[in-house]
Amino acid sequence: MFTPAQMKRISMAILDSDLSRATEEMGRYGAVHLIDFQELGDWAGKLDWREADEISATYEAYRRRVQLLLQTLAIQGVHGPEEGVQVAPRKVASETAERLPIIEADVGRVVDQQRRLQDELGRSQLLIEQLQLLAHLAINLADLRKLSFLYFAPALVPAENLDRLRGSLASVPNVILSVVYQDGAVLVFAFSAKDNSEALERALKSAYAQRRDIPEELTGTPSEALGQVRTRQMTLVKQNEEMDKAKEALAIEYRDELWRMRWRLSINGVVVDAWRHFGTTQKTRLVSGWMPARSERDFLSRLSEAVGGRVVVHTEEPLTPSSHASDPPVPTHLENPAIFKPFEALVNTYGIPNYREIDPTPVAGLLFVLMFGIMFGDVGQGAVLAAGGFLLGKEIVVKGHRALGWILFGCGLMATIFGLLYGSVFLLDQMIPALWFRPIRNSAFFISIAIVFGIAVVSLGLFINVVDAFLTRDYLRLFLDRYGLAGIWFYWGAIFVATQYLTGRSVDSPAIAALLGIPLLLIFSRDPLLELLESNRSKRALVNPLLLFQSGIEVFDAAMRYMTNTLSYIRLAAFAISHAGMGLMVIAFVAMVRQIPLGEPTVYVIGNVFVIALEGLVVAIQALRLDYYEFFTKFFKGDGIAFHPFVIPGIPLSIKK
Amino acid sequence: MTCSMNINAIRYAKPHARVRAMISELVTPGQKRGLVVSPGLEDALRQLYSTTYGTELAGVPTDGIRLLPVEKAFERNLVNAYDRVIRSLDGPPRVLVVEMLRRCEVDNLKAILGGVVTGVGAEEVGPNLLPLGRLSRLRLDDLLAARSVTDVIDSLGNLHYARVLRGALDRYEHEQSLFPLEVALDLYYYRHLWSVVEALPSSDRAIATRMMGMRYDVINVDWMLRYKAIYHLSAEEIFNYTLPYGYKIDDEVIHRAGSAPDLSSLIAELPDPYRQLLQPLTKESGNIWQLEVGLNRYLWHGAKATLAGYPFQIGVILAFLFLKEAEIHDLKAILEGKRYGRSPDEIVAFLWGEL
Repeated sequence: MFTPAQMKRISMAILDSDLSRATEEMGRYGAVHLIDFQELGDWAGKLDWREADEISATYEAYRRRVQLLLQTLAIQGVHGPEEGVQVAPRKVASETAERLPIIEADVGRVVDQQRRLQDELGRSQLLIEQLQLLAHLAINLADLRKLSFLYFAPALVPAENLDRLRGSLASVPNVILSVVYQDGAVLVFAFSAKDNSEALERALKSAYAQRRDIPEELTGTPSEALGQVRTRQMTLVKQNEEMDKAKEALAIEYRDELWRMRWRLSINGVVVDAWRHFGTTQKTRLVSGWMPARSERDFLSRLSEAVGGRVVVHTEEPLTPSSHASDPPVPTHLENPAIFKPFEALVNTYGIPNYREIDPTPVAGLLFVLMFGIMFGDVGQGAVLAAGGFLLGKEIVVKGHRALGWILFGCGLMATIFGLLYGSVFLLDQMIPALWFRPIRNSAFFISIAIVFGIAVVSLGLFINVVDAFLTRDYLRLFLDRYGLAGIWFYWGAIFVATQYLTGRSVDSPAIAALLGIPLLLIFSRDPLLELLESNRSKRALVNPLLLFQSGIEVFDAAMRYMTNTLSYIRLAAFAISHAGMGLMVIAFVAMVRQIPLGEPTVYVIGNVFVIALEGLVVAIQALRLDYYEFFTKFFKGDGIAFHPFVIPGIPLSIKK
Repeated sequence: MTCSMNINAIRYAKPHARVRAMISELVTPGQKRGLVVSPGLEDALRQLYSTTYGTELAGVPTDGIRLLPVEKAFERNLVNAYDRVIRSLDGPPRVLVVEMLRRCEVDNLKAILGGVVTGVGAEEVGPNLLPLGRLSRLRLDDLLAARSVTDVIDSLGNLHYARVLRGALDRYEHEQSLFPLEVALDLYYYRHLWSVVEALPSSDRAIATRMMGMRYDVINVDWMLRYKAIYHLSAEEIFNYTLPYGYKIDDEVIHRAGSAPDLSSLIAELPDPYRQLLQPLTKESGNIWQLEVGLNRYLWHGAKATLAGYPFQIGVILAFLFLKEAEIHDLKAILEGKRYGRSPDEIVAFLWGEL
């Protein structure tokens, strides 16, 4: 709690022949955050393992091909996890390379045949549409093909080219009739004078039109030809149905094999993707990663057992004096007790604490529920939220929202406690006595309590910053930062001065200078001092006007922020009073519908649901805002990276996390 | 107007800041002059190390024999610039810039088709492709393994390019030429891009339609010149192979220009400024490349003028992207000129941007 789990950087050299076993063990253990080998420095570039990229690309291609087969054969559903799936990427790749083309060829034969059939079906359908349009003509098709003065060209034109085709023939007398739309194309009958046939042909060709002439083998009148085409079409439909059956048979034959193949490719694909992080020498693979220090011994003994002792390991502490700024960043693995675990999500939304930083989760979590309770104090509504949170947390109704559930439970519980203190039950304030005070009748008192609360939280933030600066030996921040000791000095000085004035007592000038002037001067000196240190003690830093101006702004900004941050906590009182106001509004509505049967309970319930939903959300946002902007900004950088250990989805972990 | 300008100022604050920073990274006229007058290719390459291209050029051999790795380095820089702009944008403007970059995807697809048709292997085509990385939707492994145009179409899966190429397949099989495939892809791409321009919010649409319209004008004029001078196409074909969008060039102009018997009459049918721009060049030499340079110089000046105007609008982004593309064209032209020992004056004649 308060600090992330201690990490160690672990570097391993593993024989290529043991690589699969070692990677599987790492995945099963689930505690190694892999570092991309290239991140270790320029020297690592020479040890880039290109083959891993190639295997990974092969896997990607195989997965796509298997997926395409599953789609083609309309095989639905998900298969897996499967017991005892082998982690052996090279073997699985070579087996897949052997089997996949055979299945593809089998399926491809049927698919190609069906595609040809369907093309023919499409063409015969178009022919039917053409002939239907000509069906009332009592002329022979042979005569239609031999028109003396007119040029006739039936053609299929991409729909987006039709306007352009018409435009291109602006200087040529023509008629273009749209017959029917099919799959993004239009069947047209294009006519022109015989003399202009070349221009019409050029226009059709350049509009990507495909000629759809009535085949020569069709004879007689259009209606007779129509009969011939329909007979042929029925045969095609039957053949197409047979192809469907053939596909179904293939689906039954290959379903299990394809499912298994996809599962094996998926698991081994994850392993191969991990390999892309590794470096290489001629016979060994080099793996580097971060892991919690407490797991080091156990993991290494398991790894050694898995590869028969053929592994060379080097471990090192992070952020030692010999570390470089360019070293891969240490990931943060938060370790909080179960009660605070759900609140990690609140902190992570703002930023991941860096490895050296204090983890604010417990304090932020407590403050969040406390502030929620203060603003939403109601025994009944709090109990409803707590019950809802309990159901979510225990995953009784909906799954996948455990953290949110327990946060809601905490908020509901705190709202219930403050409901008792305010004497409010489901918006009614006459039902039970207030154990402390009623917000709406003691607003001035409540605001002063909120400000005191704000001072306490801001001071807590400053205290954490000071401790953090001390622990990280950042002495400039410790003494001169606006949120360091100088900041605390100024803040409490300002509070003292303000209290004196508010209680009618005066403070003399030397005291004001000591309480406010000196700390502001210290804060002012921070940036010039920093510049002085960084510019090799050049005195010019102390007279740089831009820097001095910037420091002046910094001081002004710091003073303003302290005031606004503290006053921001007034919202605690404001929202609690607004909650009581909402209650009065609902009661007023209830009174208005007293004459309507069931009006009172209906409006009362709807009013409560409305307040829980709307105000609950607003209050949660306010509590979060106070956490993030008034509290976190005092000490929390949140520029860390999360600990993502390598795991193989579908393969159970060998240790209980 | 003021209200929409204010909204745009907020919306474009971040992209504007980023683009301004990137504009400052463009090669300066002085640096470009230095490259043009440099004694040789190796010296020019060395000068480029101190520019924004230094990162991409790191590791590229400077022995000056093969320009391809250098050109790929430039293209990586261009893609990176697009990526940075894309990341700074949201909503329809972001979609527009993504679609503009897809021009490179179409070029890659055309290169792959070229490889398939001419029988050039993947090992030769692959290195020539524009390195789009995650910004490309093409499955390059599958496409490079394709043995026929049909294989290419199958490898495109559900991408619209597949439908477009399928529509041109009959003509390809009949003519055994890349031309119908390439034209179909170009027409599809530019029509789609225009639909994206039209989907922009009204505050962006006016400026984008004008700027992209000018670009479409130049594309249409360039295509008409090529169709007439190189392919000797008829008026109907020219009309079908050009774009129905633009700023000053409309269907009427395309009809008249397409029906013109030769290049100079075609140019005479164009509206100003294109006629004014191209007529003197035709009299000088009539080389297509020179006319193209003239057209692109016109766009370059337009982009420069946009940068000098109101900053918080999409025009600044479009102008920057054009200047970046023009810069890469010019750098390639300079290096190519150096490689063949051309004089500074000869090299300058190929450049889009002013020195």
